Amino acid sequence: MIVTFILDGTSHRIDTHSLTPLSRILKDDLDVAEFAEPCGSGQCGFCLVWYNEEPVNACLVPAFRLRGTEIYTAGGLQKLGHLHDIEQALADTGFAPCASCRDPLLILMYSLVLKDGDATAAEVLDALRPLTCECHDFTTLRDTLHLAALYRRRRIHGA
Amino acid sequence: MAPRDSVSATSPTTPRVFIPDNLQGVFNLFRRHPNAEVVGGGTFLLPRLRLGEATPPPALISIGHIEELRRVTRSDRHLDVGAAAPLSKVLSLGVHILPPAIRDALMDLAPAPVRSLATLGGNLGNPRARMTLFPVLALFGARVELRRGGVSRWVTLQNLYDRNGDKTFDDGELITRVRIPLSDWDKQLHYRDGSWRDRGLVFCGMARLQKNILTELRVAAANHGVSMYRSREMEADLAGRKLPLSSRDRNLAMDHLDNLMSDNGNPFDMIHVHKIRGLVLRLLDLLDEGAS
Repeated sequence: MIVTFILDGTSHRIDTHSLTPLSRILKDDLDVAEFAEPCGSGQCGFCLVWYNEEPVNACLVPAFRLRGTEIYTAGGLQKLGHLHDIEQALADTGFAPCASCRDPLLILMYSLVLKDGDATAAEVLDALRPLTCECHDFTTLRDTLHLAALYRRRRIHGA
Repeated sequence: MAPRDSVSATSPTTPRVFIPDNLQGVFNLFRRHPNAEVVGGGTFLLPRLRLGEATPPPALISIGHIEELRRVTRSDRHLDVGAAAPLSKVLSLGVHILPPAIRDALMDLAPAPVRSLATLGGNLGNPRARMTLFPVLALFGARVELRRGGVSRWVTLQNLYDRNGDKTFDDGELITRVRIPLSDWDKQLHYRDGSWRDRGLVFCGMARLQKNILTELRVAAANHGVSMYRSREMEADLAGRKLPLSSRDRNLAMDHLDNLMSDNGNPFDMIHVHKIRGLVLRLLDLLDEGAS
């Protein structure tokens, strides 16, 4: 089937099997995402993308659900400057997630920073659920998030 | 508006996928393709195919983008959730609107990225997933709107499936809305064990109190079997009791629970039975909190 969607700000039109997962399309057809091999069942969280303003597992999205959608990878958000506050906070806290977790963590952090700025402990724990890697911990992630939210508020509303 | 027939088959294992613009389009397609599978969020579709638990259906009708089915509205008395509304949209109503037990059940259902796709209609329509939300929604007295063409009817959630877990509604009828009463429950307890893909235990209890009197109690447990377990005898016997509960009342509750758990057809293993006993005791403690 032919599907047309926006990826990282650019319109794409591809011919694919209707049940091909988005993770496979990104990796094989468009060569834009360097995912760790996802579990294919939404459990590992390695294939998170920003899909219609929400984080979703790309391995759960079949091609037929792509029509008219707007999708961003972590790399795309980064290039467009949407992750600036988060990157600055990461640098300040010295938080360096591993290569597999970095992109999904950026997507999860972006969703929390956009939502209400100061995520509660429960929201941070909930966000961390898909990623069980030992490269990150709750306290560092929460501190980084709060700092990113502060930078965002300052940028938008001034000091 | 006529539905867009979006794609054609490219191989015998490739389903035809239809993406109708509106609900009427769904029913028109249903008439032409009675074996079509309706997909909202589709979170179970690809994992099931990948694991070989299912073969691709001959046709798919995607309803995830139909605005009418994505609406979440509320009045003073109830919450109406469209069958294709993502769970994240329901959760976005916030803690002041969503009852705590329902909020907990939705949060426990899956991580946030999956909740962005998963829908209430998909959960209740899927035999493998149903018992995660079913007990809590059933205790709240949720009802489901079933539609076929221009005809709609409401049924209680308990009446949507029979004791064997088989659906009681007709082929061609579609779950379009879930109506959840927002009546006040003073005490609510929800518990789910295991990870979100596990077939773990789900427990829900809720109670209404009035001046140190337990006026109403509802308790249910399920473990992803075909039906939920609920001790009506325990609920009826404890209603009207003074709080804090006496040891006699507590023993009575546990006796009713033991009777229910000794039912040969119950799907719980020994660990779950032990956990359910603990959860009922925790619920009874919760009732006593604050009672003079």
